[in-house]
Amino acid sequence: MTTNPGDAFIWWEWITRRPGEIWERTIEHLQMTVVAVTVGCVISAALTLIALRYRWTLGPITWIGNLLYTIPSLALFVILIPYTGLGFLTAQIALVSYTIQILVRNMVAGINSVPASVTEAATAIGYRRLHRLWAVELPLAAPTIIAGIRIAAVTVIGLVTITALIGNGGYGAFINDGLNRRFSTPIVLGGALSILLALGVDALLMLVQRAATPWTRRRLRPRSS
Amino acid sequence: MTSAAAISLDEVSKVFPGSVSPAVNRLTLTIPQGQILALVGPSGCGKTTTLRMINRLEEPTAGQITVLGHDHRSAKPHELRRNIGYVIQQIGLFPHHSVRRNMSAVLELLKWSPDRIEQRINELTDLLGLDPALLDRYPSELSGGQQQRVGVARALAADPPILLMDEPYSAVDPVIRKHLHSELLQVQARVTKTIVIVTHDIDEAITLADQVVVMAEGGTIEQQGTPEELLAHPATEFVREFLGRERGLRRLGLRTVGQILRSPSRSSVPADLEPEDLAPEDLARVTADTPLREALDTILTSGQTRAVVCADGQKIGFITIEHIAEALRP
Repeated sequence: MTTNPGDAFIWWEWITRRPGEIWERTIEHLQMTVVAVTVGCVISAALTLIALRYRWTLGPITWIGNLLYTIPSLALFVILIPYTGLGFLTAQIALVSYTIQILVRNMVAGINSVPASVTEAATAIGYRRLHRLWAVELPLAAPTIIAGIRIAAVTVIGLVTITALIGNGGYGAFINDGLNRRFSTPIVLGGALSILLALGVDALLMLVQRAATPWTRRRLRPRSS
Repeated sequence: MTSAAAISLDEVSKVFPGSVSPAVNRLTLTIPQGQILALVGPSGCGKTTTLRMINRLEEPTAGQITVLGHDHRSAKPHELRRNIGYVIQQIGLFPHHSVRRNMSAVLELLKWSPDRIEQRINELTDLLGLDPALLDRYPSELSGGQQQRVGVARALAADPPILLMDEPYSAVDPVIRKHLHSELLQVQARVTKTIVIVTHDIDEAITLADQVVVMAEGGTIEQQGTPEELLAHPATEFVREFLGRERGLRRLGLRTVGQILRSPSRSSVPADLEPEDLAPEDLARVTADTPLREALDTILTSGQTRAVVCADGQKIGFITIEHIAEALRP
């Protein structure tokens, strides 16, 4: 218990006394993020497949994605709590809904950016539809898709701090604690760690993207024979 | 050369959904095995649609297509396509695969063993005169001409009996196009495929094809024949116009000096030849391989009416403007 927070904006000793708690909150925050982004990817991939197979569905799918994206997270909690209660499921429903719009948009854009000549050539040499999607279109769409995952992950990491309000831990728990006790140190700590985690995850995914798409980095040669 | 049909189209029509007039209209065409057949015609004549129906990238709305003795609908589309090479204008190499993997794409689909693939890649590299150093590069690191060669290598990888080419050389510049033309003919001399090539360039068709099919708007055939037949006897005003000017000169381009040099000896020297005409410095020199068109140009440029035909620096005969004119006589 901290009975005397002192007058300092940040009380370093309070922070250095809690390596275990910080580690625990980091794991919680990461878990919430990974689950939300993974589930978001699976749902978005399914929606993208539907949108690619039946072109007319792209409009409605985009519309619903945008709608979900515009609902404030606190409002969504209020709507969901009567049905899904306070806790993990409610938080995940909110987090996942925010990823759908970003992920579907990037997945569709990525697949559509594959040159028609490449998909046509693949079909003409005997690729079947799904094999072509997996072996040709997906890798070529990867830079755009991973860019979408980066935005989604960074967005979710920010939002997870809010889901602490309904009891899911993570860095938001520090912020709640600080707000409840009018104690600035945990608020700053929670905010700073959340930003650092977002930057770290973004950098990591950028490395993944570079490693996964080596052909995008080779320099083009002049087109002479 | 065998004359069995590799591909035949029987009363084939294609009407695209939402269109009233057919893109291809009751087209009947036989493509002999081991020959290069060119489909030429203006935009919208249905030449590309005709080509794409052969490997079922488009399905005909009526008629029957037979490929190597079987109705082309008897196999699944992807299985049919693995036996038919296909080259398109934009080449469509896989940007995310090395040149090597691009070339082996069909072989991987056919589940060849890695050893066999490696061996085949070496054969293809040799066949198309590709620098083996390019094999581990990405397509974006290649020049247009090199990409074109890789596109052909990919199409020929599984040694398919049939090769379909849709405007394969439209995107490369004229100098490289000329190289690629002669390379294709060299490849054809070694592997003898049935090649169907779509082009809007009548000169390309004349250079490459054994048979030229001129199509008109509305997807019908105006005339089919050898380049020589077309140039000598265009069947309709449309074909005459499509062939363009200088038909006589272009016919001369199809034949070489050797083909009309009736007697490669001193006896072919015309009787009216003056001794000073024999002086080599006064007469231009051509070889038996020189196309007649070039030989005529050489003679005219030299300001004379005849040229010496040489082989290995030795005079083997003479060729005159009259000889050349005779070559065009029926």
